[in-house]
Amino acid sequence: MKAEKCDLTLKSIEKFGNVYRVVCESKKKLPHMAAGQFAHIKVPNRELRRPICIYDNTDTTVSFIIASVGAGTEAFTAQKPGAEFDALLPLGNGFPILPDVTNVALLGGGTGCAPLLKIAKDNPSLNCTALLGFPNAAAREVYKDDFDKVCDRVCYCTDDGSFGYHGYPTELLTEIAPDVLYVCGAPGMMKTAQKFCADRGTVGFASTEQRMGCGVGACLVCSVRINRDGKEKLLRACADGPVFALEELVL
Amino acid sequence: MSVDMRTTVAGVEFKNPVIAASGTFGFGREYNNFYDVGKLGGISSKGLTLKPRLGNPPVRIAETPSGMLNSVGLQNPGVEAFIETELPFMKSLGTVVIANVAGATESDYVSIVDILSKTDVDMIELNISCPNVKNGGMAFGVSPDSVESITRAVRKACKKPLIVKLTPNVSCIADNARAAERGGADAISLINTVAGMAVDYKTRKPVLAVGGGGLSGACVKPIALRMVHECFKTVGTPIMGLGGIMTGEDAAEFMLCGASAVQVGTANILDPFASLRIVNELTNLAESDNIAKITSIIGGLIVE
Ligand SMILES: Cc1cc2nc3c(=O)[nH]c(=O)nc-3n(C[C@H](O)[C@H](O)[C@H](O)COP(=O)(O)OP(=O)(O)OC[C@H]3O[C@@H](n4cnc5c(N)ncnc54)[C@H](O)[C@@H]3O)c2cc1C
Ligand SMILES: Cc1cc2nc3c(=O)[nH]c(=O)nc-3n(C[C@H](O)[C@H](O)[C@H](O)COP(=O)(O)O)c2cc1C
Ligand code: FES
Repeated sequence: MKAEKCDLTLKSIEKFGNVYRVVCESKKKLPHMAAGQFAHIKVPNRELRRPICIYDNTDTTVSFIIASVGAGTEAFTAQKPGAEFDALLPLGNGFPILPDVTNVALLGGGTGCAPLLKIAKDNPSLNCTALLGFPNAAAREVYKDDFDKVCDRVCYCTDDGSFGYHGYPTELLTEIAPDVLYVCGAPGMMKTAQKFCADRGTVGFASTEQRMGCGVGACLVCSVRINRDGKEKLLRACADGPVFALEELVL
Repeated sequence: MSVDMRTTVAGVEFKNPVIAASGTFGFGREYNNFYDVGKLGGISSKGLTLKPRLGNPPVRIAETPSGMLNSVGLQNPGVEAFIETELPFMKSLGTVVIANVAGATESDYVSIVDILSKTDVDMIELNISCPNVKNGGMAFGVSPDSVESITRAVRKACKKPLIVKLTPNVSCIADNARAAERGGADAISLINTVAGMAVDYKTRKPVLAVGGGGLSGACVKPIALRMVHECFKTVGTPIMGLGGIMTGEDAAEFMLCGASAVQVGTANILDPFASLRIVNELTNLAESDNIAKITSIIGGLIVE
């Protein structure tokens, strides 16, 4: 799965509050992409690329869920269908799928839900429960019913109780009791998930975020703190991650 | 007509004048997945220290107008690991291998250069210009006296052509170039990054965790061009010019100002194919101008 520089055209862009659902098209067949890998996207009038998780893909399309949080994501999401740009993809190591394990939980918060969809979609034999957290009902709409289509069970959770379970998705972990937990979210969610896994001996994998430069492992600006072999190390989010074993994360 | 793109710096021949700059190209492995990096003139390694270094805590990068700040702080596996695991790979690429070295003390620099002199690296680049470490680094590169004395100390141990990399954060770059020459440098490279910082108004904090960092990219090109030109007028030592090179034409501008070769840094971070593209653009530029030998433009700046 060598990364390539791919020429993409914006096919559609739908706005849900400050979060956008973006589908991009390529004239050529796109490389194979795994759940948890990311694209490093060229943004108009910006120097650095922006890393965005691969949400979904086909042979010639790739889609993203992008929150407009600053100058770069604002400039990208202001583009209209037909806009052309390039992206390096697929980058990084995705979520490992363990053999002989079927009871899996996907724990995500906000845009952190995005990298989890492909775990369920690409592995139909898994028995996936998605625990997805949002501030309110409107914030989940960007995902439409994508998770419902590929997961065995989806628990939407909202902070204000306006949709689904009123509370944090981490509160449902004990009830689900997964064999493997995949998580991507705010530091608080990651911490709770890490503790849950440590207490119960559950295997967990987390997708981390760090500001990036090259995105391919050469510039070393994207270091994350990782506990490995009894030592704290600084590993590259882009090339050694972005997915790490949950127990290794220094949170 | 095909252009002769070869250039020579300190007796070392490069197949073309475009070298990947230290810290932006790792040890060549990552970009070799995108194209054959053996097509470049050379590669300067990530800054190496005697012992492995973790570098600074994140955040280590900030975008700035037409550039970026970094505060990596010389994260590297240490010189021994470099020799064991990275150097054989780099030597297999068929391009000039430059080992970029840094230290906290003069004796660090001497030891590491001594160790590398016994290997098959082609050249050693002395990084006395890193703004991102507390001890050593740029501290050695600011005053002309200290540039001269560290160059002289290292020169004694160094069995390879020695490049001294200068920092732009000085009062008179020509004085520092002269000092490096007096100390025994076979070549100089400039510029390293310009000390700078970025501030987040919302959090009222610096963007980089350690406060300041080094500025690079297109925004530093005018500073670098002028400094290369000043050094070219002052010293006879060959020059590798860098700072903000994004295109083949940028590279040609540095050569006109007196650079015998150029290095490409931040451009690689923005686009993995940048260095190769710059080789091709420079070749095409020379071809369309009927230039037979690329070295013929070195120092060709017309100042009236
Ligand atoms: C592997 C990876 C996958 C990602 N996937 C997605 C995704 O699917 N959808 C999505 O909306 N966002 C994703 N992000 C985050 C996204 O890259 C940042 O939000 C974006 O780079 C911010 O750029 P900006 O110019 O808009 O904001 P800036 O003006 O640069 O910063 C605005 C805010 O975003 C934070 N930020 C900036 N860069 C990053 C970064 N690289 N990672 C985390 N926070 C950052 C800053 O701390 C600041 O608070 C991902 C990040 C990584 C590392
Ligand atoms: C992320 C990053 C890391 C760097 N690390 C080193 C280093 O280890 N040693 C060194 O001599 N210069 C280092 N530099 C400086 C570059 O080699 C170069 O001198 C500088 O960035 C200016 O050139 P540019 O504008 O083409 O990037 C680094 C630059 C960047 C952006
Ligand atoms: S972003 Fe350059 S090494 Fe990760």
